[in-house]
Amino acid sequence: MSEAFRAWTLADTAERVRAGDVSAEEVARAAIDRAEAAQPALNAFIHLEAEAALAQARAVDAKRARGEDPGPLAGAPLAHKDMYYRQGMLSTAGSAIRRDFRPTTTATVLSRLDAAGALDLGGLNMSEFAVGPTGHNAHWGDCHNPWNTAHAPGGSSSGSGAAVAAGVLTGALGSDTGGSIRIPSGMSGVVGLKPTQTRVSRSGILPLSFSFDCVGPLTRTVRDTARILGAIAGHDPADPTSAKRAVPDYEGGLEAPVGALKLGVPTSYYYDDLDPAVDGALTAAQAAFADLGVAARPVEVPGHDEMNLIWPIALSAEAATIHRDWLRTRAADYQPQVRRRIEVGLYQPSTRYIEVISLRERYTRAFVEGALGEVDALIVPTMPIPAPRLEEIGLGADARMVELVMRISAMTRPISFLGLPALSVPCGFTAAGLPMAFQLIGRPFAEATLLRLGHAYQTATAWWRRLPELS
Amino acid sequence: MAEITADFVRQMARTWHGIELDPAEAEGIARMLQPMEAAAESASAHLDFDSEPADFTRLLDELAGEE
Repeated sequence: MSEAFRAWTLADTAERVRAGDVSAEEVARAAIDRAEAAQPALNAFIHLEAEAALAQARAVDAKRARGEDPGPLAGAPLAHKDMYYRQGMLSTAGSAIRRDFRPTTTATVLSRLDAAGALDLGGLNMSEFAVGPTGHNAHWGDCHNPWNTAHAPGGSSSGSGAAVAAGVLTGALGSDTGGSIRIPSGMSGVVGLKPTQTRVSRSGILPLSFSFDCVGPLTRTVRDTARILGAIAGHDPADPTSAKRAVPDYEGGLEAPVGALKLGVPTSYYYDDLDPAVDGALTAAQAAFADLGVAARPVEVPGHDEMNLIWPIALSAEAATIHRDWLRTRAADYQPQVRRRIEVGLYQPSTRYIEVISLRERYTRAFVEGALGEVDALIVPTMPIPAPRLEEIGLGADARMVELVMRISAMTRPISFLGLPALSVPCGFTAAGLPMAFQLIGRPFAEATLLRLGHAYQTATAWWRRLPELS
Repeated sequence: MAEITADFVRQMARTWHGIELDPAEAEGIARMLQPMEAAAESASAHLDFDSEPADFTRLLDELAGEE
C-alpha cells in the first residue's frame, strides 16, 4: 500500500495543501491508491468515487492558485458512511433495498465539508440501514478490523472506523444513534465524536431514528475531530431540530489548560464486568489525566439499566415507522437480525413510545445535575470488551444476538438516550494488538471541553501515532 | 399485566400491519419486548402529568454549560 502521506493527519494534510507544499491532487491520488490497495483486506468502501474526488482536488488547487484560501479542510481525503446524500451519487445505506438509490439532494454537512475544501472519496461500508454494532453486512460483505482482519471493526459506521484507522483517509463522517460512531471508533482505534443531539444538521442523511440520530466525525486525532466539527456544526434551516446556538472555535480552544477540570468516575454500571485489559487501560487513562492535573472523583449514575431497556422502544418505534412499507413488502431483503431490531417497533402501543420520549427530559436532568453536577466530564469505557472475532458473532436473529448487541452497546446507548455529547479516544492495545478506548461524556453542548480533555490526553500519550500494517 | 406472548405478537402483526409472522420469529420478538415493556411500565410511573417530548430540547439549552 502506498505510504505517501499516510501518516499525515487531517490537519497536517490541509496545512500543507494550503501552504502549497503538496497539491490536493497528489494527496487525492495517494489516498485513492491506498483505498484500492486496502479494499481486499478491509472492504471499507461500498463505492469509490475516484474521478469525483480528483475533480474536487483540482478545484482546491485552482482556488489556491487564484490566491484564495482553499479552506481548513483543504485537500483532506475523506469519505463517508454510505448513508449521506450527494445529488446523483449512489447512497446505498449498506442495504439491498437501496442498492441503486441516487438522491436528488445533497446533505447539508457534505455541502459544508465541500465548502471547507475537503475531498469525498465515496461511500463507506456500514451496517445495513445503520442497524448493528458489529460491522457485519451480508449485502456488501463484512467490513474488517484493520488491526486484525479476523476481528469485527464495530458498527454501524464500520467502514468509517476501518478506513481512518488504516490511514486510508484522514477522516470520515459516521452516524450515531446508539453508539454507531463510538463503537467503531473504539474497536478500530480512532477518535469518534457523538455531538449533542441538536448540534449538527441531519438534513440529507438516511434516517433511522428522529430522536437519536447524530452526525459526527471519526479521525485519528482529537484536533482533526475539532476541525471537522467546526466545519459542520451550527444551525441549518433544512433541519429545524438543529440548535441555533453559536458554534465555538473548537480547534482554537484545544490548547487551553486542563488542570482546573474535574473528571467523574462512575461507581456502577460502566465499570462493572469489564474485560481485564479494558479495565487496565481505563485505569492507566485515569492516571494519565491525573498526571495532567485533572482531578477525579467518584460519581453515582443511577437509572442506566432502565435506560438501556427503554431506549430501544423509542428507537424501534421510529425506525419501524420509517421502514413499515418495506417491512411489509420487502421483508426478505433485510438481514434477519436487522429486520428483527426494526420490526419490534411495530408491536408496541403508541403510548409507550410517547412515554419513553417524554421520559428523556427527566433522566437527562437527573444525570446532568447529579453525575455531572460537580465535574466537567465523566470518563467511562467505550466498549467493555475488545473487538470480537467476526466468526464469533456471525449473527442470526436469535437470543444470543440480542445479548451480544446489548453488551457491545451497553456503554453507549444510555448516552444516546440522554442526548449528551461523548468523545471516544483510543487508550491502548490488548496483548493481541486490538485497540481499547475511553469515552468522555459532557453536559449538553460541552463538545469544546471534551475535545480539550481528549487533546490533552493525546498530547501526553502516543497511541494515536500507531498505524496498522496492511498487506 | 399479562405477559406479551408470541400469539399476541402474531395477532398484532396480522391485524395492524398485514404481516404474517412465523411462530419462531414471533417468539423472538415477544422475548425482546418482554423486558423492554417491564422497564417502560416501571419508568413511566415517574412521568409527570404535564410532561411532553419537546421538554427535552428546551432542557438541552437550559443545562448547557459555558463554552
